[in-house]
Amino acid sequence: MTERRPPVHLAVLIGVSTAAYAVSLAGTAALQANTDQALILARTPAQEAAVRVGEAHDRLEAQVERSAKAYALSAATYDQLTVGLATLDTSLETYASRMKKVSGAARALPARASLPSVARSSGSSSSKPRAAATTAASGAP
Amino acid sequence: MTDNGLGVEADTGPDHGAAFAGRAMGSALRLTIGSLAAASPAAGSVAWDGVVESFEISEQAMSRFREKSELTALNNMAGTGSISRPSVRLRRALVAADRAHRVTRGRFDPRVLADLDRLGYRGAALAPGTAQMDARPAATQGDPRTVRAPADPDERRVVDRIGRDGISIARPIDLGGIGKGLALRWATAELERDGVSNFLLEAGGDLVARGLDPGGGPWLVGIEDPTEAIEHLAIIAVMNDAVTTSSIRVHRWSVEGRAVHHLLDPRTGEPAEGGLLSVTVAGADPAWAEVWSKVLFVGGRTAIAREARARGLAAWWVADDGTLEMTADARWRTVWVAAEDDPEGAAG
Repeated sequence: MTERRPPVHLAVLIGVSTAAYAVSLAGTAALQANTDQALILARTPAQEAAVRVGEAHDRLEAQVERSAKAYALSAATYDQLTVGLATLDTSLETYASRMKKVSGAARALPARASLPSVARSSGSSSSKPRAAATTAASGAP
Repeated sequence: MTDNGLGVEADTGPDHGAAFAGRAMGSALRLTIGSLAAASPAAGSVAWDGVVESFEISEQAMSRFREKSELTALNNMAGTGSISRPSVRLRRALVAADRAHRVTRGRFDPRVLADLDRLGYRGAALAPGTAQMDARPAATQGDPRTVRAPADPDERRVVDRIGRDGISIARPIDLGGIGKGLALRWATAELERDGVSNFLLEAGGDLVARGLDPGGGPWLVGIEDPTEAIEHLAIIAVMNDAVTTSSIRVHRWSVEGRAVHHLLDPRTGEPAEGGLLSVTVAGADPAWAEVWSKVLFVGGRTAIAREARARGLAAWWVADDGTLEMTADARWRTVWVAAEDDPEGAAG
């Protein structure tokens, strides 16, 4: 009777093949990783630049907003000033009208005015005011 | 003019004001009310009664001429004991005098009673042997310029002990240099409490003015000519101030052939001889105006301008040659000066 022996050469073949595959897979993965790293390094400056551009855009937007507000305030102030100028204009017209009347009245005044004569008092030559009390030495009557 | 039964005369004027006169503290006491306005005419009499009563209380507390006054009782105990339960006014007067002594650095000192007594300006007789009436011999006999030795530290305070329960002093006190001002201060407070807002209250040449005169203007007060050549050397306008004068026109006499007066220099114990006849000071408070008028008088003609101006006082002074001078603060209050008037109208 013939004894059947296990196929050792098949097992060896399968092991060698598996090892070869594993080595080739590791090599391929390593190559892929190196490539990805290089790609990342190559893209970093572009990303940073994109961030800086984004920030600059935000700042510009904020400035535009502030400018818009300032413009709106200036416009409101100008409106008020316009109203004030209109009032001043009206006042000046009124003043001019009054001045015209005063000028007319002044022209109507005589060039000279004679005042009544005032009699000078000859009672006392002193201008001393009358005192209500006297501050004096203690014990004075 | 009517007598109100208090030995005083009342006169209601045409301007709805009223005037009252009497005597207190050995001097004329007058109250002129500028306007009673809506108040009844009797309000003036009520106010005057309050003034008279206030002065009576003050005099009973502070007079050295009354035998039964609190001050005389205190002076009798000088150096030996104390008086118990003194009145509020005497306590306040002594506190004020002590403060004036400190503020003026000793140039105001109420402890000159012994010197006044020695010179013959006597008040109520003190009990024989009253302590220290002659303990500080005048270093100045015949030479008023000689300053006494500095007082020891214990003498820096006018009052030894002061409280509600008692007062003690080491040396007899004369409150003549501040008492009338204090009496005016307290009487003024009474008038203001009574609702009188326009008045002139005079006590022997010192006065307090409040509000307006009957004519609606400031009260006009004349500064006496101490030489008596003319009535007033100047007229000043006063609204809410006190005006006091220290002058030697009245209280001067002769001792052993030497002319003396009652305004003593506490540093020498002798009458001040600084070349001045009178000093007038205007200020918010009559007591302090009185203190400064005396201190300026004692300082003399050479120092008065610097001292008065440095302290911002409104002060007028008459030198022994009869000339009137004043500080800038006094000038703007002055409405008329005899020396600047029409030379044909008044003497200088």
